[in-house]
Amino acid sequence: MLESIHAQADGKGEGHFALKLTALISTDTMTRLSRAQQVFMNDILKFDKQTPIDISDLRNSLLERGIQFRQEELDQLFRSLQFEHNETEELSRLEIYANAHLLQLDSERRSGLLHRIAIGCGVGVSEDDL
Amino acid sequence: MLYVDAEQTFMQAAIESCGQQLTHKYNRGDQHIIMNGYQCYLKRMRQVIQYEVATSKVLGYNLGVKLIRGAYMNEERTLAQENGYESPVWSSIEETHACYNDNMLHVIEHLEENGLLFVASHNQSSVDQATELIRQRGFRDHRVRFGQLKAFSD
Repeated sequence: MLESIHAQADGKGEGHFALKLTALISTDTMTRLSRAQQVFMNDILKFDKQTPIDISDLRNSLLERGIQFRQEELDQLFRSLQFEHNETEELSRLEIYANAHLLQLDSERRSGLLHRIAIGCGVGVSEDDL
Repeated sequence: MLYVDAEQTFMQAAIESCGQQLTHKYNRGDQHIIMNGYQCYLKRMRQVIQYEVATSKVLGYNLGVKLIRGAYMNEERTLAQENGYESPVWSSIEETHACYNDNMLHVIEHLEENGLLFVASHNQSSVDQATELIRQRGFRDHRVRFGQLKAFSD
Protein backbone atom coordinates (compact mmCIF):
# COMPACT_ATOMS: atom_id res chain seq x y z
CA MET A 1 0.00 0.00 0.00
CA LEU A 2 2.79 2.41 0.90
CA GLU A 3 4.53 1.55 -2.37
CA SER A 4 1.33 2.41 -4.25
CA ILE A 5 1.06 5.72 -2.44
CA HIS A 6 4.69 6.57 -3.20
CA ALA A 7 4.21 5.61 -6.85
CA GLN A 8 1.22 7.91 -7.17
CA ALA A 9 2.50 10.80 -5.10
CA ASP A 10 6.29 11.06 -5.28
CA GLY A 11 7.44 14.03 -7.32
CA LYS A 12 3.88 15.19 -7.96
CA GLY A 13 1.93 18.10 -6.58
CA GLU A 14 -1.01 15.87 -5.83
CA GLY A 15 -1.77 12.17 -5.54
CA HIS A 16 -5.05 10.34 -5.11
CA PHE A 17 -5.47 7.14 -3.15
CA ALA A 18 -8.76 5.39 -2.37
CA LEU A 19 -8.73 3.29 0.78
CA LYS A 20 -11.09 0.58 1.94
CA LEU A 21 -10.51 0.37 5.67
CA THR A 22 -11.71 -3.23 5.49
CA ALA A 23 -8.47 -3.97 3.65
CA LEU A 24 -6.66 -3.16 6.88
CA ILE A 25 -9.21 -4.17 9.54
CA SER A 26 -11.33 -7.31 9.37
CA THR A 27 -15.06 -7.05 8.63
CA ASP A 28 -15.78 -8.73 11.97
CA THR A 29 -13.79 -6.15 13.90
CA MET A 30 -15.31 -3.27 11.93
CA THR A 31 -18.80 -4.63 12.56
CA ARG A 32 -18.24 -4.89 16.32
CA LEU A 33 -16.66 -1.44 16.47
CA SER A 34 -19.57 -0.01 14.50
CA ARG A 35 -22.14 -1.62 16.76
CA ALA A 36 -20.37 -0.21 19.82
CA GLN A 37 -20.08 3.24 18.22
CA GLN A 38 -23.80 3.23 17.41
CA VAL A 39 -24.74 2.18 20.95
CA PHE A 40 -22.49 4.92 22.32
CA MET A 41 -24.06 7.55 20.05
CA ASN A 42 -27.70 6.53 20.13
CA ASP A 43 -28.28 4.73 23.43
CA ILE A 44 -25.80 6.39 25.76
CA LEU A 45 -25.66 9.89 24.24
CA LYS A 46 -29.22 9.72 22.83
CA PHE A 47 -28.21 11.23 19.48
CA ASP A 48 -31.42 10.09 17.79
CA LYS A 49 -33.76 10.59 20.74
CA GLN A 50 -33.14 13.72 22.70
CA THR A 51 -31.36 17.03 22.41
CA PRO A 52 -29.63 18.47 24.26
CA ILE A 53 -28.45 16.17 27.04
CA ASP A 54 -26.71 17.05 30.29
CA ILE A 55 -24.26 15.22 32.48
CA SER A 56 -27.00 13.52 34.50
CA ASP A 57 -28.34 11.96 31.28
CA LEU A 58 -24.87 10.61 30.56
CA ARG A 59 -24.50 9.35 34.13
CA ASN A 60 -27.85 7.57 34.00
CA SER A 61 -27.10 6.01 30.62
CA LEU A 62 -23.83 4.59 31.89
CA LEU A 63 -25.41 3.27 35.08
CA GLU A 64 -28.22 1.65 33.08
CA ARG A 65 -25.61 -0.32 31.16
CA GLY A 66 -23.68 -1.21 34.31
CA ILE A 67 -20.61 0.79 33.32
CA GLN A 68 -18.51 1.85 36.30
CA PHE A 69 -16.95 5.31 36.50
CA ARG A 70 -15.54 7.86 38.89
CA GLN A 71 -17.01 11.35 39.02
CA GLU A 72 -13.86 12.92 37.55
CA GLU A 73 -13.95 10.44 34.66
CA LEU A 74 -17.55 11.37 33.95
CA ASP A 75 -16.74 15.08 34.09
CA GLN A 76 -13.75 14.61 31.80
CA LEU A 77 -15.75 12.62 29.24
CA PHE A 78 -18.61 15.12 29.20
CA ARG A 79 -16.21 18.05 28.79
CA SER A 80 -14.33 16.27 25.99
CA LEU A 81 -17.57 15.94 24.04
CA GLN A 82 -18.40 19.65 24.25
CA PHE A 83 -17.04 22.24 21.86
CA GLU A 84 -14.35 24.41 23.45
CA HIS A 85 -16.53 27.51 23.45
CA ASN A 86 -19.48 25.74 25.08
CA GLU A 87 -19.68 26.96 28.67
CA THR A 88 -23.15 25.58 29.32
CA GLU A 89 -23.98 22.36 31.15
CA GLU A 90 -25.48 20.86 28.02
CA LEU A 91 -24.32 18.80 25.09
CA SER A 92 -25.88 19.45 21.68
CA ARG A 93 -26.56 16.96 18.93
CA LEU A 94 -23.93 18.66 16.76
CA GLU A 95 -21.32 18.20 19.49
CA ILE A 96 -22.19 14.53 19.72
CA TYR A 97 -21.90 14.17 15.94
CA ALA A 98 -18.52 15.91 15.94
CA ASN A 99 -16.86 14.55 19.06
CA ALA A 100 -18.37 11.23 20.13
CA HIS A 101 -15.73 8.76 19.00
CA LEU A 102 -15.45 5.60 21.02
CA LEU A 103 -12.33 4.43 19.20
CA GLN A 104 -9.99 7.40 19.55
CA LEU A 105 -7.23 7.44 16.93
CA ASP A 106 -5.24 9.89 19.06
CA SER A 107 -3.85 7.85 21.94
CA GLU A 108 -3.81 10.92 24.19
CA ARG A 109 -7.60 11.13 23.95
CA ARG A 110 -8.17 7.52 25.00
CA SER A 111 -9.30 6.88 28.54
CA GLY A 112 -10.16 4.06 30.88
CA LEU A 113 -13.80 5.09 30.81
CA LEU A 114 -14.00 5.02 27.00
CA HIS A 115 -12.40 1.59 27.17
CA ARG A 116 -15.04 0.35 29.62
CA ILE A 117 -17.83 1.93 27.57
CA ALA A 118 -16.55 0.07 24.52
CA ILE A 119 -16.73 -3.20 26.44
CA GLY A 120 -20.16 -2.22 27.79
CA CYS A 121 -21.39 -1.39 24.30
CA GLY A 122 -20.58 -4.83 23.02
CA VAL A 123 -17.34 -4.33 21.14
CA GLY A 124 -16.25 -7.70 22.50
CA VAL A 125 -16.95 -10.14 25.29
CA SER A 126 -13.80 -9.31 27.20
CA GLU A 127 -11.01 -6.78 27.32
CA ASP A 128 -8.86 -9.24 25.35
CA ASP A 129 -11.12 -8.59 22.37
CA LEU A 130 -10.23 -4.92 22.19
CA MET B 1 -5.58 12.91 -1.10
CA LEU B 2 -6.93 9.91 0.74
CA TYR B 3 -10.46 8.83 -0.20
CA VAL B 4 -12.03 6.76 2.59
CA ASP B 5 -14.54 4.41 0.98
CA ALA B 6 -17.96 3.99 2.56
CA GLU B 7 -19.25 0.48 3.17
CA GLN B 8 -22.41 -1.32 4.36
CA THR B 9 -24.24 0.31 7.26
CA PHE B 10 -23.42 -2.53 9.66
CA MET B 11 -19.80 -1.37 9.68
CA GLN B 12 -20.11 2.23 8.48
CA ALA B 13 -20.28 3.87 11.93
CA ALA B 14 -16.70 2.86 12.70
CA ILE B 15 -15.53 4.01 9.27
CA GLU B 16 -17.26 7.36 9.69
CA SER B 17 -15.77 7.82 13.12
CA CYS B 18 -12.23 7.14 11.84
CA GLY B 19 -12.77 9.35 8.80
CA GLN B 20 -14.12 12.22 10.87
CA GLN B 21 -11.20 12.15 13.28
CA LEU B 22 -8.70 12.11 10.41
CA THR B 23 -10.54 15.00 8.75
CA HIS B 24 -10.50 17.08 11.93
CA LYS B 25 -6.74 16.58 12.19
CA TYR B 26 -5.47 16.74 8.61
CA ASN B 27 -7.87 19.00 6.67
CA ARG B 28 -6.28 22.14 8.06
CA GLY B 29 -4.71 25.26 6.60
CA ASP B 30 -4.80 24.96 2.83
CA GLN B 31 -5.01 21.15 2.92
CA HIS B 32 -7.90 18.82 2.14
CA ILE B 33 -6.19 15.48 2.51
CA ILE B 34 -9.04 13.34 3.80
CA MET B 35 -12.08 12.81 1.56
CA ASN B 36 -14.89 10.86 3.18
CA GLY B 37 -17.61 9.10 1.20
CA TYR B 38 -21.23 10.14 1.84
CA GLN B 39 -23.81 7.66 0.53
CA CYS B 40 -26.89 9.57 -0.60
CA TYR B 41 -29.04 6.47 -0.99
CA LEU B 42 -29.18 6.45 2.82
CA LYS B 43 -32.15 8.18 4.42
CA ARG B 44 -29.95 9.70 7.13
CA MET B 45 -27.57 11.39 4.71
CA ARG B 46 -29.30 14.78 4.49
CA GLN B 47 -28.89 15.18 8.23
CA VAL B 48 -25.30 13.93 8.14
CA ILE B 49 -24.27 16.42 5.45
CA GLN B 50 -25.94 19.27 7.36
CA TYR B 51 -24.01 18.27 10.48
CA GLU B 52 -20.75 17.82 8.59
CA VAL B 53 -20.94 21.29 7.04
CA ALA B 54 -21.88 22.84 10.40
CA THR B 55 -19.11 20.98 12.23
CA SER B 56 -16.48 22.14 9.74
CA LYS B 57 -17.44 25.72 10.49
CA VAL B 58 -17.34 25.27 14.27
CA LEU B 59 -14.08 23.29 14.38
CA GLY B 60 -12.44 25.21 11.56
CA TYR B 61 -11.37 22.37 9.30
CA ASN B 62 -11.74 22.14 5.54
CA LEU B 63 -14.57 20.08 4.13
CA GLY B 64 -13.57 16.94 2.27
CA VAL B 65 -16.71 15.43 0.77
CA LYS B 66 -16.94 12.66 -1.80
CA LEU B 67 -20.62 12.55 -2.70
CA ILE B 68 -21.84 9.18 -3.92
CA ARG B 69 -25.17 7.42 -4.28
CA GLY B 70 -24.08 4.07 -2.85
CA ALA B 71 -23.36 0.54 -3.92
CA TYR B 72 -25.05 -1.85 -1.48
CA MET B 73 -28.75 -1.10 -2.01
CA ASN B 74 -29.94 -4.69 -2.49
CA GLU B 75 -27.86 -6.01 0.39
CA GLU B 76 -29.07 -3.27 2.73
CA ARG B 77 -32.72 -3.97 1.90
CA THR B 78 -32.29 -7.72 2.30
CA LEU B 79 -30.52 -7.36 5.65
CA ALA B 80 -33.22 -4.99 6.89
CA GLN B 81 -35.97 -7.38 5.86
CA GLU B 82 -34.25 -10.42 7.37
CA ASN B 83 -33.51 -8.69 10.65
CA GLY B 84 -36.78 -6.78 11.01
CA TYR B 85 -35.65 -3.18 10.91
CA GLU B 86 -36.52 -0.31 8.57
CA SER B 87 -34.42 -0.21 5.44
CA PRO B 88 -31.78 2.52 5.73
CA VAL B 89 -32.00 3.06 1.96
CA TRP B 90 -34.50 5.32 0.20
CA SER B 91 -37.43 3.45 -1.36
CA SER B 92 -37.08 5.00 -4.81
CA ILE B 93 -34.38 6.20 -7.15
CA GLU B 94 -36.11 9.61 -7.25
CA GLU B 95 -35.62 10.02 -3.49
CA THR B 96 -31.98 9.07 -3.87
CA HIS B 97 -31.53 11.58 -6.70
CA ALA B 98 -33.19 14.30 -4.61
CA CYS B 99 -31.00 13.50 -1.60
CA TYR B 100 -27.86 13.56 -3.75
CA ASN B 101 -28.73 16.84 -5.45
CA ASP B 102 -29.87 18.56 -2.24
CA ASN B 103 -26.64 17.56 -0.50
CA MET B 104 -24.58 18.69 -3.47
CA LEU B 105 -26.30 22.08 -3.39
CA HIS B 106 -25.79 22.44 0.37
CA VAL B 107 -22.09 21.59 0.17
CA ILE B 108 -21.43 23.90 -2.79
CA GLU B 109 -23.30 26.74 -1.06
CA HIS B 110 -21.01 26.42 1.95
CA LEU B 111 -17.78 25.35 0.29
CA GLU B 112 -14.88 27.57 1.27
CA GLU B 113 -11.71 28.14 -0.73
CA ASN B 114 -9.76 25.30 0.90
CA GLY B 115 -12.59 22.77 0.98
CA LEU B 116 -13.14 20.15 -1.68
CA LEU B 117 -16.24 18.46 -3.08
CA PHE B 118 -15.82 15.41 -5.26
CA VAL B 119 -18.95 14.82 -7.33
CA ALA B 120 -18.68 11.08 -7.87
CA SER B 121 -21.60 10.47 -10.18
CA HIS B 122 -22.53 8.92 -13.49
CA ASN B 123 -25.78 10.85 -13.49
CA GLN B 124 -25.85 13.55 -16.14
CA SER B 125 -28.49 15.64 -14.36
CA SER B 126 -26.41 15.80 -11.17
CA VAL B 127 -23.29 16.73 -13.10
CA ASP B 128 -25.20 19.42 -15.04
CA GLN B 129 -26.61 20.83 -11.79
CA ALA B 130 -23.16 20.87 -10.20
CA THR B 131 -21.73 22.67 -13.22
CA GLU B 132 -24.46 25.29 -13.01
CA LEU B 133 -23.96 25.76 -9.25
CA ILE B 134 -20.22 26.22 -9.78
CA ARG B 135 -20.98 28.88 -12.38
CA GLN B 136 -23.48 30.62 -10.09
CA ARG B 137 -20.98 30.74 -7.23
CA GLY B 138 -18.29 31.96 -9.58
CA PHE B 139 -15.69 29.39 -8.61
CA ARG B 140 -12.55 29.84 -10.67
CA ASP B 141 -10.58 27.16 -8.87
CA HIS B 142 -10.83 23.38 -8.52
CA ARG B 143 -12.72 23.07 -5.24
CA VAL B 144 -15.40 21.01 -7.00
CA ARG B 145 -14.18 18.03 -8.98
CA PHE B 146 -15.86 15.24 -10.90
CA GLY B 147 -15.17 11.55 -11.18
CA GLN B 148 -16.73 8.43 -12.63
CA LEU B 149 -15.88 4.77 -12.52
CA LYS B 150 -14.55 3.62 -15.85
CA ALA B 151 -17.19 1.73 -17.89
CA PHE B 152 -20.07 2.57 -15.52
CA SER B 153 -23.20 4.53 -16.39
CA ASP B 154 -26.34 5.55 -14.52
